[in-house]
Amino acid sequence: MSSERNAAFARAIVSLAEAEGALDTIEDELLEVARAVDGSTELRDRLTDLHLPIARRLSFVESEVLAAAHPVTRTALAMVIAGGVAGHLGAIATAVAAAGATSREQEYAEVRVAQPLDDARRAALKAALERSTGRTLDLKVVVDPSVIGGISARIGDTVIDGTVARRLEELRARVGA
Amino acid sequence: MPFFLAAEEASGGIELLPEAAELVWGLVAFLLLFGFMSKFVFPRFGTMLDERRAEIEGKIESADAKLVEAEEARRGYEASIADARGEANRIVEEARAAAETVRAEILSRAEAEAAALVERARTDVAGERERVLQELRGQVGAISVELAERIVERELDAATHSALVDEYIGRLAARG
Repeated sequence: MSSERNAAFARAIVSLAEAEGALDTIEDELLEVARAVDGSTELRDRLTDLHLPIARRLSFVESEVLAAAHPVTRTALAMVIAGGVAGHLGAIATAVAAAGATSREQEYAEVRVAQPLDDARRAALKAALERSTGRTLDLKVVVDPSVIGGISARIGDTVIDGTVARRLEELRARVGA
Repeated sequence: MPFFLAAEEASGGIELLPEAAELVWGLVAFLLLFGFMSKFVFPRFGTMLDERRAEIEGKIESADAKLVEAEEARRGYEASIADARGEANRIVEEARAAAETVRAEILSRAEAEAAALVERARTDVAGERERVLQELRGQVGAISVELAERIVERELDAATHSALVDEYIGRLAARG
């Protein structure tokens, strides 16, 4: 049920973004905001607490941190918050990015790294992933300190995890911790 | 006058021999008395003595018979006592054997129970030791991984990040 709702919100946002001709920008900004919300319990609680007045929840959209964001991004966020699905913002942002990639006849690939990639490495990574999967990819790079080091790529249901966090997790499992 | 005084007077000393008449009368009286005694008294004495002897002999025989009887009774008692002693010894031996069997059985059971207790205690101790070791291993592992995580996070500089990314790309390229 929630995945259908997420998909419906994603379709609506994609329609808005395509109408504005800014789908690529909206995808990136939504992914960035979703990442920030996932990383902040306080912000997440503020946006998902349905007991709070809606005006207070929506105040985030008009806050300084989103001042530079595209108006469609803010509109999309307002829609998600008012719709009571802010807790699924990450999934919705991913669905929007995937829809954007499909519209560009590409497949959405989410790459998580601990530090930003330079252009050369980003291009090399894209080429390597495309060679490995045999698909044309729309690469979205998310800076996620929790991976500690290395890269984790998700393409559809396939995950290629080469992060230090995963190695530590394997080590933890091996020592029975 | 008595004859010894007459003799003393006649000889001037003591005369012991009686006169002849006295001797005759004395002899007659003696014979009469002896005849009477032989006729009436001595046979009675003989009869009495025979009876007495017979009675004594009867008593002696009776005593001998009783003695024999007593001896037999004594032997009987001794035999009974010997039998009773033998029976008592047999009972004591049986009781001792039974007690020994029971003792051995109790000892064996106690030893088995003690061995089982020791084994159970050993198993419990081993299990507890293994559990503690596992717990300790888990804790040490968790601490080690946490420390490793902190060290890795602190030590990962930009160059290492780049190296990790390059390694990832290299592996992907090798796979593709």
